[in-house]
Amino acid sequence: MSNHSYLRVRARRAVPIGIMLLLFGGCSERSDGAIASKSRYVAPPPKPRPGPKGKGKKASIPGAVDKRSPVQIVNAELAALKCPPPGVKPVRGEFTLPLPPFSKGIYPCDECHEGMDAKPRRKLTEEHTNIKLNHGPRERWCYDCHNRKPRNSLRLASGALVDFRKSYKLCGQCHGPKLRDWRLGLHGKRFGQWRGKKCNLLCAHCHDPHSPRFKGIRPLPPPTRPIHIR
Amino acid sequence: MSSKKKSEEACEGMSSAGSDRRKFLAVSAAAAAGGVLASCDPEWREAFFRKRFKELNGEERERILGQMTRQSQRTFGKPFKVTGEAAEPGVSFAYGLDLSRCVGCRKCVYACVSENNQSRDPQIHWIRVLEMEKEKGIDLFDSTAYYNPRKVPRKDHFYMPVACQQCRRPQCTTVCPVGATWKEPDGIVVVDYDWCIGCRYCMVACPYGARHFNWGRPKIPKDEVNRSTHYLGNRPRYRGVVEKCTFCIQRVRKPNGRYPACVEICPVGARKFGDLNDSKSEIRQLITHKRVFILKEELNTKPRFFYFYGV
Repeated sequence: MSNHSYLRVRARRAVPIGIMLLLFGGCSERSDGAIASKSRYVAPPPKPRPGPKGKGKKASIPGAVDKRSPVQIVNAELAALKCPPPGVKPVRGEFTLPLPPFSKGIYPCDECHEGMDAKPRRKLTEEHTNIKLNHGPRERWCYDCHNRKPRNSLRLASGALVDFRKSYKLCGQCHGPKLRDWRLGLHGKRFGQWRGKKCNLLCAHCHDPHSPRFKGIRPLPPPTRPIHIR
Repeated sequence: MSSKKKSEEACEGMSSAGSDRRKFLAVSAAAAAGGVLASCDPEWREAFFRKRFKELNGEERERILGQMTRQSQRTFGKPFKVTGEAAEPGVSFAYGLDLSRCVGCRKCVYACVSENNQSRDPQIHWIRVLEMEKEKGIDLFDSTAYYNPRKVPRKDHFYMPVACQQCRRPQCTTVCPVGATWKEPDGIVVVDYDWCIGCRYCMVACPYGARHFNWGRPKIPKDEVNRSTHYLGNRPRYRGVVEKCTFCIQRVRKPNGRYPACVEICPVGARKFGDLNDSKSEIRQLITHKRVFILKEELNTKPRFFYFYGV
């Protein structure tokens, strides 16, 4: 029985699928659980959505309050491209890689997890509540990628441990062609020198590993039309 | 017979009278010009008779770059640098753009504006990002550069940034009446702003709309000026000259040259840049492993700018 947060979110969509599965007489344990959690789940009142028709809701959109000019925005982003950030030893190996995009104060994991028992739990109620797992099949869960003990590493399907700073090896287990392209420099971002030292971003810099689908971003202002240029 | 001789004499007479007049005009014009030039600043006089940048020898280049550096330091304050690195032999630049990744955020547009000291008012953007419908495919006629949704990418749309394609057979350079624009040995098409007369023939000849004209005196906020400049690239421009993308010549021509600004800012890594002669460069891998296409292939301009679908 699971009332895991990500399952709850998906439960609404799961109902028709569950009914269909029941009709075909082949309902798995997992979809049963999803339906059960749905029955206890009370949907919150729908939030007013900021849309183009909404009146005076502009301030609620992230990015809308940015008072900087577009040039200042990109200059700040360009200045932040440092590989590795000052004071941090670079990762030795195949590629020059920056630090993984950890949330603040979250690494090393064992600072908190050291004394904890590593019993399998699916609920994230106290910590890491911002994580909504939405990455591929529903059967996936924390310990498919995270090692139980020590917690500071990732874990491949083979059982081998992988440092967080080389997480591309973990992603490449399923996304082989993408890893191949990334190694060649065709997928993903690089910055630095075009023939000298360059820095490759990790998969996780652009794709949230727990919810990898690209979230839209706010575009910078469109150009002035020629008739308005004076 | 005699009439023929007469006419010949008349012709001679005419021609001699013409040459006299021409000689007189030339002498008086030279005298007038000399008078004007003698009274003005020697640096200005030197600039008036300066050769094209590609024709200058090393010593002349150094002197001119020094003058320009000093002049710009007076205008924009120190530190300011105008350099003139020549093309490195054996390097052939090319560019790749992944249409399946681009989200149309326009960060490249403004990174380019910042890096290359483009005029903010009147506005000049070297990169135009076109929004197109997936259903129609690449349809330049139905595309727009003025889209402004809350979030990009919009559903069922894709984005195609267009800047100078750095053609191997550039049409813009062939039409220039004064030879102010040419193709460098490493493939970059450049403009000598001191030679440009602002006739805008090149803008008409360019099938990609990649050249832009300074209709007014370029205005840049003083604290946003990029102080590391190249003579053929992002040095401050004058009113009435044409400018264009140079693959960030001031960045890539350095010994440890950095990627162009648009490559570094792209949040999705859609932009690829490198040396075609280096078998390990991204652009070479790209051409080896992916199917690429060029824009307006039928015009036989042979761009160095390759679009592809990384998928």
